[in-house]
This record gives sequence, C-alpha cells and structure tokens, in this order.
Amino acid sequence: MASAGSGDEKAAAAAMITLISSDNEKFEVTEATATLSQTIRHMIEDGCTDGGVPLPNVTSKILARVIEYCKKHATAAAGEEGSSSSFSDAAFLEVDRAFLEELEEFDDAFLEVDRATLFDLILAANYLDIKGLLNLTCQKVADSVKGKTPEQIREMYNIVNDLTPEEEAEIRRETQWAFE
Amino acid sequence: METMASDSGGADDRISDLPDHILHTILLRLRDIAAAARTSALSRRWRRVWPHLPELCFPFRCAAGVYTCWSESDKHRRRVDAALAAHAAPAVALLDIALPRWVPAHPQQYPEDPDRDDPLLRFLASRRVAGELRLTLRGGWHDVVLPPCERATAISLYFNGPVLRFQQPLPGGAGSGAFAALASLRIKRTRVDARELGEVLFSRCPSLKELFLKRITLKDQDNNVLSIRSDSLERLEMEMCVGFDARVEVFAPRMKIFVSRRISSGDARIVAPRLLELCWHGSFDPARHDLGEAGYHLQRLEIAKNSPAAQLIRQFCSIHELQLTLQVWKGIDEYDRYLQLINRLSTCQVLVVGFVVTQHAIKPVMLQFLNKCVGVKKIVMRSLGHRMDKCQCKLWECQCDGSKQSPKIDETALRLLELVEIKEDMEAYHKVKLVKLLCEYSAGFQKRVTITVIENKQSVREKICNIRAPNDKVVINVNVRTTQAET
Repeated sequence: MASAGSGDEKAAAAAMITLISSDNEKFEVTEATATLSQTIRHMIEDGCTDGGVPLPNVTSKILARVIEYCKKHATAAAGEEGSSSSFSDAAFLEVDRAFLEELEEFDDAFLEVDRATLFDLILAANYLDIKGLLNLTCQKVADSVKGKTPEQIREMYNIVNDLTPEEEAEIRRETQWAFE
Repeated sequence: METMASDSGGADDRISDLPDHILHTILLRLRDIAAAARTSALSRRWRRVWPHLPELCFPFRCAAGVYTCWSESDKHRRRVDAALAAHAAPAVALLDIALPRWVPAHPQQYPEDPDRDDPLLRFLASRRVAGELRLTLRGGWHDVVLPPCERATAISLYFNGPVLRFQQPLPGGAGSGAFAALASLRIKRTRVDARELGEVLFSRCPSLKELFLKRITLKDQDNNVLSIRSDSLERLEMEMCVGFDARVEVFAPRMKIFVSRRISSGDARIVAPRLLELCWHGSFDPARHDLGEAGYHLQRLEIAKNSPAAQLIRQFCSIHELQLTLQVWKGIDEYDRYLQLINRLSTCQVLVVGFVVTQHAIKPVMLQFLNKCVGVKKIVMRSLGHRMDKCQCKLWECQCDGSKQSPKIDETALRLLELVEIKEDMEAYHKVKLVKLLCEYSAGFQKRVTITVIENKQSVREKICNIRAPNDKVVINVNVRTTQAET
C-alpha cells in the first residue's frame, strides 16, 4: 500500500512498545520505531510484546542511542515505501534530497562515539537485527582500517599477532597479489 | 573520524571477538578486495576471515581507458585470478567482476587456445556462485563461453567486445547443465549468438522470471531472428539500438509485464496471452508489431508519447490504468488529433497523465480532457509542460480550437470520479486553476471526490486551501511531497 501519510503515523503512535534494557530501564517507543529492528518486528508479529520486550544483551546507555537512531530512520523508511511503481519513473522515484542530506548529517553526528561504544552499537545492531545501523557502524570501522598496514591495524585495535614467522611468511606469499 | 583512534578502547581486542559475519560486513565495506585479503596477515583468527567472504567484487576503473594502460589492466586481471584461486567459501552470494581485456593489433596472430586456463571461468564452472553474478568484460576478441551457473539466481552480463556464448551441457557431466536457479537475466551491449541464446532461454532456464535485453547485437547477420520462448518468463524488458532490425519473436505464456523501450525496427510478434502490464515507448505500427494474441484486458498500459497511443489502445478491450503523456503541439490539426485521441480514454478507470501543451491555452485543453473522462474513477496529473510563446490569446480565456466554440463543462462527464491527485511537476498557478475547474464539475459527482495536491511551497498550499469547496462532494487536501498522498 502506498499509504505512509500522517494518518498512518497517528495510527502507529497509538501502538507503543516498551523495551527493557539489561539494567532494567524501560523505554517507550512507537511501533514504527521499534520495528526497524527485525528481531522486535518478529516478536510483535508473534504477539509476545505484552509487558515489555526484555533485551538482556543491551545496556540502557546503548539502547538509548539505538532508539535515537531508529526514531530518525523510521520517518525516512516511511517516506520510501510509498514510492513504488512497477516501471521506473524519475518523477515518482525522486526522493526528497534535503531530507536525505539531513539524515546523512544525523548519521555522521551519531557516529561521534568512543570505540567501546561503537563496538557495543555493532553488537546491539546485530542482536536487534537493524540492518541500517549495522552497516553504518561497520562502515565506520572499515573507514578506520582503510589504507592501513597490518601492523597499524593491529596497534589500533589491540590485535595480538599470534602468527609464527613461518606462518606470516606463508600468508604473505599467498596474498602477495593483495600487497602489490 | 580519527577521534576514536586516540580514545581508550581499553586493551581488549574487541574487533577479533566479533562473529565472522560482522567481520565480513566490515571487510565488504572496505570495497577493496585486496585490502580485505591483507587482513589475513593480522593474526590466526583473521587468516580464516577473508577467504570466506560471501561477496566478491572487483571493480575496475581506469581513467586512461582500457586500451592504453595495459599494465594496469594486466595487474587487475592477475589480482582477480589470484583472489578467485585463493577464495575458499563453498558459495558466494555475489560475484561482481569488471575485467578489461587486451586487444592485440593483429588478433589473427593470437589464435584461441581452447585449453587455456581461465580462473574466472573455472570459478564459474565450480558452481560456487549461489546468488548473483555480474560480469563486465571490455575488450578482448575471443568468444567468452559461459559455463552453466546452476546455482546463480541472477546474472548480469555486459561484454563490450567478446561474443557471449554458452557452454553446451556435457553428456554425463556433473549437474544438469542448466541455469536451474536463474530467475533474472540481464544482457547489455553484448554481441550474442541469437540461436544459441534462444535455445538457452527455451530449454535451459526453467526458473527464469525476468529477462532484460539492452542494446544487444546479433553475431550472425544471416539468421536475423531473435526468438524468446520461455514457459516461466513473467517480465521482459527490451531496449534495442536504433539500428537493430532483427525479427523479434516472443512466446511467453506466463508473461505478465512487457516493457519495450525500443524494440526492433523489423517485425515483432509477441504472444503473451496473460499479459497484464505493457509499457511501450517508441512507435507502434500494427502492420509490423503483432500483439494480436496479447491479453484482451490489460491492467496497465504505459505509453511514452501519444503518437502510438491511439493504435495501441485499440489493441485491447479494456485497460484498467493508462499512463501517457498527452502532447498538444501547435496548430489546429494537432489540436484535432488531440481531441480524437482523448475520445478513447473513457474505457480506463485510472488515468495517469502528463501534458505537453505548445501554443495552446490550457483551460480548453483541460476542459476537453475532463469532458472525456466518463468512466474514469481516478486521475493522476503528473506534469504539465506548457509553452505559450507566440500564442495570441490570453491564458484560460483562449479559444484555441480555432473558429469552433469554446468548450463547455459537461457536468455528467466526471460522475464516476472518486480521486484526483495533482503531482508536483506543475506550476502553482495551474494547480490552483485546475482545482477550481474540478470544483465546477462537482454538481455531477456521484461520489465524494478527494482532490489531493502535492505542493511544497507554503504560500501556494495556503492558496489552494483557501479554495472553497462548492458542496460536500469535494474534499481538497494539500500535502508536501515527503508525506505520501492518503488513499
């Protein structure tokens, strides 16, 4: 259905979901926000969200950030759904550029976190199955690795080199094409 | 970005603790297969990560062009070969390869070696592509013989140079030799052996649902027939080069959607008794284009220009939704032609129209149009291109149909109307006028009609909101574009 207008948002606003963090803090969110998480979407579909959704793997600090992300992106997802046409048509598929730019700015600011928080967000996004957030946070790690030598990456992420000199030489030989 | 390098993440190695599929996501986001492979030198844990990446992408960009930077393209080629040889996963969900190929000045001096070892073709033959295959080959002069990729679900091919051939199934060989899982096939700007392609589509792609042929050319000019026969095909899209003149035969009993952006300048015969949607750009000539056995009741017909519209609409008993651009060029003849065409609109229930009006006033054009929408329940106005230059008459009061009388509103014309959407690509002035014009028809409405106008400018929104509905049969909504129209 191509109906993602204000009427739907009002309807969704009525359906609130309570998320409970590992440290027992409760968060009230709209269904539209919560269902950005496939994990929670399935719980809602199975009708087991009464009394709140316990999320034992996510602390309140991280859950608050995740919800902040979902709130912002839930509105974006609502806008996209409406523009489906079986033939590609520039006039119909044109997305509001200003809104996308705003979303990008939000994402950039959202990622201004320390490394421990970044990994917590990755694990939360993985557990809650929020594809956009997982991609966003993984991209941040990928960007930090880009252009670095193995030695630099090890130092940056405290990776212990447990390879014997022979093993390392063998790997270098096998992947010589990648070092050229 | 560097802020996080300096902060304390503790001394823990948290990245290596991540599960493999997250590490894969990170490595894929490097968008550089060599950089991903280099991480195997980090530690024992990492040694096992990259060879199991579920996606392999090898883009090739060369500003200087493929023919002039031989060393670059050779290096890329060797990288691809080495990476494919080292990759260890039993299945990849995506293999996306762009390969430049060297073209010698005298190809005849380089006879094809049938036993040459091509790691790419070997990889494909190993049936490890269990998802999507995208292959871009530029240059080269030998035929490229595609092995049967039995587990591939989608294949996109773009061979600029080599002829696409298909490996014949080996008698008694492993597997069925068929593209058993293939649901979507796209071939672009590639020279094909028409007979072989037809044979593969007919007998070796039992699951094919979508086929896109874009600017392909035929290898054998003598056999100038492109035959597409498929029992499973549901969607076919064709966009041929201007000079493509082969006879096109389509036999697709299950086909629902046919998109023809440009079909052959030769004859075409399309047999698709279950056709539901047809998108036809370019000219239509009933003498050369035979849709005779296409479905009689079409759900959707999209026509880019109005020149073939009259002929095409006639092909079908009924069309639920018609999308077209009504062009009203200058001159009385063109105006008459327009009047003839809109006579046929009444059989549709949904009209999605754009207007291009040259040197005619808009009000009579719109009036004539609305007067013909007798059976129409929903009208979507997409755009209005309007040129008034050299038109002597005043906007909205113009009698553009020459000496004839100015058209009158036929209040009974829109009696079945329920919904009108006015999209953004229209001048604010015209939107206001159109809403007012629709209100003039409202006495004849049988149902309550909702008029939704998409407009981002606050001042225009207010102007439209201030239009008073003449009775309770009209509801006027004004939305901004990001929120979709309520239905």
